[in-house]
Amino acid sequence: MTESKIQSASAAHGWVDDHGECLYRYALMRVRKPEVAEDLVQETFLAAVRGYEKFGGRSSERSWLCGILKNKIVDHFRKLGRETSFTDTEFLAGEYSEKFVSVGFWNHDEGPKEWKAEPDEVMHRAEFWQTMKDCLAKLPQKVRGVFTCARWMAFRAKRFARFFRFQTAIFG
Amino acid sequence: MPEEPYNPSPIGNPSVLARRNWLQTRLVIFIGKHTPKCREMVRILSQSMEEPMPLMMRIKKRVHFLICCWCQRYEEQLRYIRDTAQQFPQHADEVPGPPLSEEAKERMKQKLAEQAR
Repeated sequence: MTESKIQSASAAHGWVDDHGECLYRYALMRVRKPEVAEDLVQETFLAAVRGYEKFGGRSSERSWLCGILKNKIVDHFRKLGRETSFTDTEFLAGEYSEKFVSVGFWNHDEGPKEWKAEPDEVMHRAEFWQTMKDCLAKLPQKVRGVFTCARWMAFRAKRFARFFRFQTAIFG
Repeated sequence: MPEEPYNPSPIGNPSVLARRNWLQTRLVIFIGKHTPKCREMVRILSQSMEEPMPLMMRIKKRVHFLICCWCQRYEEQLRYIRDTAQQFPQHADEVPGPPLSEEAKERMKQKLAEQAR
């Protein structure tokens, strides 16, 4: 075994204990399925071992591993997008058509209501985040991926994000 | 049978302009004809969260808001959701399901050891 391989093998041994839990939770939040999260974390560790030489200790181990995990998560959702049809997003587009009258204007009774609470204070309330989590849970997997990973993903995210926002705005 | 012309009541309509008198009604009808319909507006607003809106459309949007407080609220709420969504990961305290099990950790260590050989 080469010098670097020995180094990475011994480093990797500690990673699972030191960072496994944290990476797993990070992935689980975004993919929602324990098996998928575990696979992604596994792949992250394997990729990290292969790329350990390039790492060179520039940043903390955890943030480096997180970076690899992020890419794995994005790839996961990209693959999901390719494999499944567009029916998810088409469904969302048609779903709230009863909110509008036939000519295309808002039905006055169905339109967005005024949000009473001061928005900033709401952010600290657990209730609000629970609601957001519940809304997320109702979404098709692909669209949810866009929501949690939107900043990392490129073009295709936009199409999904559009329909998702339409739905969440209605959820209120 | 021809459809009834669209003639919503102005009662309870919080928009700046509504069919409250002759002049407002003319304005509302004019603006309704020359700005995107709400169904379309909503799609455009969503898109504007990603890409910058051209000037002409921004003008049409502001004019449309005069007759339609709902599209205006939609935009505000959309912005708010988008901004808070980015903070979501930090705020979601508890995770769905159990934590990473010891068996899972063992499996990972095993696979790492295999790769090292």
